[in-house]
Amino acid sequence: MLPSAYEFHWDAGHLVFLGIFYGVLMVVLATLARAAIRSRRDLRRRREGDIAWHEAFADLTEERRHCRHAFDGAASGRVCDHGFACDTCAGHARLAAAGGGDVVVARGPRAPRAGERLHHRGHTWVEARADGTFDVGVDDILRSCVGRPDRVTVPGPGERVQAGAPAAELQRGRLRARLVAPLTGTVVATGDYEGGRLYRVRPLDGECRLENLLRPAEAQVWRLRELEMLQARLGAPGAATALADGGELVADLMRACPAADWDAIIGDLCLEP
Amino acid sequence: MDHHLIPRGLDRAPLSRFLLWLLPWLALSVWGGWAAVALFRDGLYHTNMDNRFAFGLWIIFDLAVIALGAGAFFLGFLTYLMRRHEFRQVLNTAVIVGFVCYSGAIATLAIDVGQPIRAWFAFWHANVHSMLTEVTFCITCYLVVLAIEYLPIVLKNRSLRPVKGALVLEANLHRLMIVFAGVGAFLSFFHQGSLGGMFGVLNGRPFAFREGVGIWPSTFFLFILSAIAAGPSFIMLIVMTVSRLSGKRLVDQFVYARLGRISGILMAAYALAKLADTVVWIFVTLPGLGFDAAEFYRHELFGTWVLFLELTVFGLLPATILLNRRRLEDRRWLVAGAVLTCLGVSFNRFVFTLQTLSVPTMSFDRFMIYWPSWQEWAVVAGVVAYGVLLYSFSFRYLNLFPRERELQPTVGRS
Amino acid sequence: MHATENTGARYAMAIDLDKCTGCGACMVACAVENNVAVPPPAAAANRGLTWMAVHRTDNGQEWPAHRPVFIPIPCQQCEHAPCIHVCPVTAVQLDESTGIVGQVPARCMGCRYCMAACPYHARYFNYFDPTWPEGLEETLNPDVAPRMRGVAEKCNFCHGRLDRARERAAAEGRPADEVVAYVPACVEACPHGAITFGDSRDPASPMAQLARDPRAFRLLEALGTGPKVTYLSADPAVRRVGLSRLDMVRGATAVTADGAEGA
Ligand code: SF4
Ligand code: SF4
Repeated sequence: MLPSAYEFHWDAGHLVFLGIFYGVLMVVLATLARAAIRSRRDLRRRREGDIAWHEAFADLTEERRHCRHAFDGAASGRVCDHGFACDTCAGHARLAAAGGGDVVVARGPRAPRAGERLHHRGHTWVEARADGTFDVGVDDILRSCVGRPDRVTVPGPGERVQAGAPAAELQRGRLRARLVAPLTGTVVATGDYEGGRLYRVRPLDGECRLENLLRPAEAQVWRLRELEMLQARLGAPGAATALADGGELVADLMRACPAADWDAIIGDLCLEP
Repeated sequence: MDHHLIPRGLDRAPLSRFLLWLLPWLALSVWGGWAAVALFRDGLYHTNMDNRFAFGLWIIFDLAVIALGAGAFFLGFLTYLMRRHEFRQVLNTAVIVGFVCYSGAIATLAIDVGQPIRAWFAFWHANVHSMLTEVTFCITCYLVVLAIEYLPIVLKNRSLRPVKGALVLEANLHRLMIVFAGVGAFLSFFHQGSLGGMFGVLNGRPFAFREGVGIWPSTFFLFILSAIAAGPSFIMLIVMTVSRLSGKRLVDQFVYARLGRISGILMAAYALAKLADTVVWIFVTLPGLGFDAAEFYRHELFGTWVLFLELTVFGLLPATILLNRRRLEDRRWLVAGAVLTCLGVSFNRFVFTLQTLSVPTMSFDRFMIYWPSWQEWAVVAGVVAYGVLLYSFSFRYLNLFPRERELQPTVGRS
Repeated sequence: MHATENTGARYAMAIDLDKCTGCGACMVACAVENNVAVPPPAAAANRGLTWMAVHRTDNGQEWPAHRPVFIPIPCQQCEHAPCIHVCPVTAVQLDESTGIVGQVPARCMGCRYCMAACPYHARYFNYFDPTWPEGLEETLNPDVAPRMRGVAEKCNFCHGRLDRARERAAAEGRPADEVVAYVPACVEACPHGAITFGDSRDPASPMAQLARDPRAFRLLEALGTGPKVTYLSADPAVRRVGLSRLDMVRGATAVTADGAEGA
């Protein structure tokens, strides 16, 4: 194997054979090293949130990946392959332009008005405040599902949250609902779950990607679809009828339908396959 | 109990039932382990091999599982390098089955050689002219590659998701998977071939000896062809079985047909190549060596039916079944074609190993026959059980089938 | 591989089947000389070790012409040995200076691929730990290392004796590359003088003449292995045992007697 090994010959057979062997070995090791180095770099740059989001997105079923333009009617049945990053999506640019093109950004004339809510498909929302910060909260569907959580974990002031990356967590019994951050920014205050707000964020200029969130009109359609999905997943006729026609959501669905696969449902709602 | 390990939304049997299922396999692997310990301790006299049957059940088994495990590299090659993305649906299974086949074969080989602690000599004192050296190098490297391919599947386990390092490493490995798929295909190509070459170069054994193409005997190419024909069929049968046992649809129906069709095309190529090879062997090779093919098929066990079976029932028949589009849509035909393909390849390995040693070479030789001892069976059973165990754990705790969730009926689940 | 054509010796053996009575003295002498372990009594028939196996067949004639034929088969020391290139660990080598196919037991890993490669079934595997019945270990030959369990072994034309002969030659101050004369144990032991041994490249050696003897034939010559053991018989029917079985049945008479070296 090595020229130092007894009876090694510098002949064509050895050179070709061992050359190929060491070549393969090098490729395998180099590729492994490359993966390790990249991983280290990703960890150092705190990209794990991003990566988690992209991996989760890739594993979502098709029905969880509907494009926002499937909600505003511009492109029914369209499935997103962009990780809901509409700002980088050519299709979105085209469809949004055709539909009037009101893109929201954090500041300036196209910023959301105070009190206006934008929705993330992980069932969190952001609400603009007059001072340019945003409140982040959990929407009614997820609240109704989780009922009264045993534990709520939110990022503390000063922490950075990143759109798509897990930021908060609700825990009920063994179930954990991981809540992704709807926008990128720095946490300035924590709210309280009972009051409906989780934390307050000062967006990071140019990076908060508000244009990726659902605007109220889209969110309305999306919400109905989510309810439909929930109804199908619950399977229990009692709870379902109440949901389908947009009726009041039960305060604690988990208690109302204990037989359902809540683990899977929460995973679906929070976009964590 | 183990809910936090089972992938989200996948319906798996209760833990008690799972443990019950493991029980017989655990028993088998303990039996095999027991035999292996005795063999390591006392030596190979516990087998029924002797000076004539230097190879026995274990070599046949190794050759067969390595051929059947070819699905791992071939489907990886098709998915990553040929961009046939439909095979992603079975790729995880292919990787795990491949890992099981190769690690099992290497474990069996470690018991089979008389001096296992000298196994590293095959690297250190490598004789580069030996087909077995090529095999040793390639299957060891390929096992490493398979382990690397297995790793991200394990790292995606739910309990490891919150571990940042695991998540990031998994993502990065996944992105580089095309390199491993390429290396795997390269290595597999050579050792599948060298396994055939191992027999084809035996100029002292006219039954196995074949004419060369370049530096390789024709069996080099025949073994590659038959292995990549059997690989997809074997994966298909495994997935069907798992689907049956778990009562779930795991992959889209059309994937089975695609796998079957690939097997069919390759099987047809193999059957024709084998036919041509046999003709050359009978009319050119053997007369040159002073032998006559009829001589090899005159003995009790191995009649001409062996040749006939290999060429027709285990060759042309599965090829014709799997090449027919209508039959591919029919589950029974599909299974029949795949089973015949896998059986045929295993039978081919059996014939090359055993008949080669059974038939006489010298005029005064006797035809001999061998039957494995219980220890040999135990080791094989143990390796099979190990494979079932590893796959069972993987199926329960890892997300092997990306489409599984979507394929389940949503309403009425609990 | 590195030696140039026709340098060094080509030790060869000739066995006269007309003289062999199948007494087995060669087998015993060989076992004693080479410390061939005695398998346990319960060992299956084909598990034993013997570097020299006397096979029995017959001349294929009806009575009264019928007679048994005994064929002692040591390793044929093939010039183009099928067992050499198959060994993954380079444990089998052709010694260019003697033509002897050497086996390195300390390196063999016991894969037995070489056994599958040898058409003469001249290789044996140590299924058991080497043992000798009580008292017999006294007879062990200090010049030959016994082999451990789990490795292949075979005849090496009494390499221990060759080494001894070389040592003597060196002591006498003869050049190191000179071809030495020696006799393997079986040659010495045969009560009928059926076995001849010598350097076939030495025109003065009896082996050089025997190769041209019309009674000579070799086993399975058509395989191209180039065996260095020649067999002799005056009976053409006996000479046919060197062919493959079918050729024998057909009554082919392609027995050749030329070219002591299969090259
Ligand atoms: S007779 Fe057998 S063991 Fe001896 S050299 Fe020839 S092939 Fe090798
Ligand atoms: S049994 Fe030993 S000598 Fe024979 S091929 Fe294997 S390693 Fe080489």
